[in-house]
Amino acid sequence: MFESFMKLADDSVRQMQEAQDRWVASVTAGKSGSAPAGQVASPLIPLQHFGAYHQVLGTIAARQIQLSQGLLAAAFRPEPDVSLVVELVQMQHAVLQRLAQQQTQFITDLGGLLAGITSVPQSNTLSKLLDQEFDFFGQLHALMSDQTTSLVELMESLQMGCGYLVTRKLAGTGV
Amino acid sequence: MLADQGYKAPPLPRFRADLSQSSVSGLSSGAFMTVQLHLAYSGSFVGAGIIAGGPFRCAESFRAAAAIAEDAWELNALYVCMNPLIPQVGPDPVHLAAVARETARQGLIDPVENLVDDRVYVFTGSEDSVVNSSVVETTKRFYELLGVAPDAIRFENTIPAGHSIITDNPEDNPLPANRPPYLNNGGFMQSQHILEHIYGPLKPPSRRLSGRIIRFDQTEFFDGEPRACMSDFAYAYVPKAVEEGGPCRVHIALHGCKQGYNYVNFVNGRPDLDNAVPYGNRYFTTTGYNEMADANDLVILYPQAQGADNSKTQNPDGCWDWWGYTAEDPAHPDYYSRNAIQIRAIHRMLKRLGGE
Repeated sequence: MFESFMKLADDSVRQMQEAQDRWVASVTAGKSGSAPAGQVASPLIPLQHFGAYHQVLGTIAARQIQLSQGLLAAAFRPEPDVSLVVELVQMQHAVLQRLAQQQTQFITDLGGLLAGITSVPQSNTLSKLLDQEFDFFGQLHALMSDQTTSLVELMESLQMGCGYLVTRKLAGTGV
Repeated sequence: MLADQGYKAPPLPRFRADLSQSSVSGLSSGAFMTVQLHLAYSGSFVGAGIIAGGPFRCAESFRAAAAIAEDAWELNALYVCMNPLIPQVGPDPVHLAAVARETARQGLIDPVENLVDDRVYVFTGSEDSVVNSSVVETTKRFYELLGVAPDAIRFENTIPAGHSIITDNPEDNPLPANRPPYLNNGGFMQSQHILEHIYGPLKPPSRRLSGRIIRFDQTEFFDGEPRACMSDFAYAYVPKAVEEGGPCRVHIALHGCKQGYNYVNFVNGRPDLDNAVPYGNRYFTTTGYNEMADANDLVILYPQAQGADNSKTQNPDGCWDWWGYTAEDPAHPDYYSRNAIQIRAIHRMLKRLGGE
């Protein structure tokens, strides 16, 4: 019995060691081919994540500056374009509508989730019981994640839409 | 018996297809690709069916959306071509018709004059929350501007359908749903409306199929290049009379995103290989094309796209390329031209069916 446990413990330690070795090889060797297809193994991965955020946020900032410049140019045109103002107000209205839809959906989903945890789960095994307990956190995480990405999508959409509209008004269209 | 992991499907057979009578239809990304294929090879097609798709090259509407071209095309795809906040920030059909003419002038697609006598079916469900109805209306306008006669365009926008191809299968989603597998039960087979609009009155669909669905090796048509984002296999429905040597016409049916046979859902950024989606075969088996094809000597070709989500290709949903993800040079994407890897591959399949 004791020997079986020791063997199990030995095996576990060995497997963890092998997994760690594989990870170290993947982030240091680079040429070993152990990195997943399409990914470049690098010890600088956290920095690369930061770089990706930096790049996307930089693009958003640049777009915002461009948009502000466009709006300023449109505002100081000798003959102001009333249709632009109307369309920007329509965009604002569309954003409010979508925010309201997102909020309604979020509250409905959250209500469903909370209703679910008021009932005691039925399970025959400890593993299933634990699984059911963790399900709640998984679903909550998914809900919050969806809500956040929906908000960011709306922000991107608004920025894109305004930029596109102002550009078209100022300079005509062009691929 | 162990499964043969190295299985290679047989090649697509040659038939006696009249290649001057071909047509194409598709849903969503398949609809965007339908427009591109139709324009790229307008000399080969007599009509097209577009379900929830936008006009040609609309993903290039606003280059200034991002400093990196690839990012700009994707932002355009999402916020101009699929779900603009208001119609005024959607695709501009006048501009895109001019772009199509210029693209033809450069020799990248067939002359747009070929479209004049074509028949076009355009559909948007009034409950569609994935591709906004205002976008699909610009597709209709785009075709009109290119000279397609108004009475040759059937435009439907009053049915309260979500983002889907409509069927009469009780197993499919309720009509207003906007969720996979994007097959909604509306009490009729939309595919059959498309085929009848393109080809005129046809014999009623067969109650019992005489022919069979064939699986064939798709890789030979894109030379196995991973950037094509096309699956190893594709399918075709072949009526018995056609398989026995009879003449036929070809209709190409393009699935939408998340509808390829080997689509894998991504959960928390990882492919969920343990839970393969259960509907991968339904687009080429239950959408009603085959029954109509059987009665009318049509071969239905079902090319298959597949997903990829890595540093080179961002297409996790297995969509057809209508924003340039297959481009070798993203700054100058060629996803819309006769040289585009997916368009060229599908057209090669078409030529094979014609015996070439």
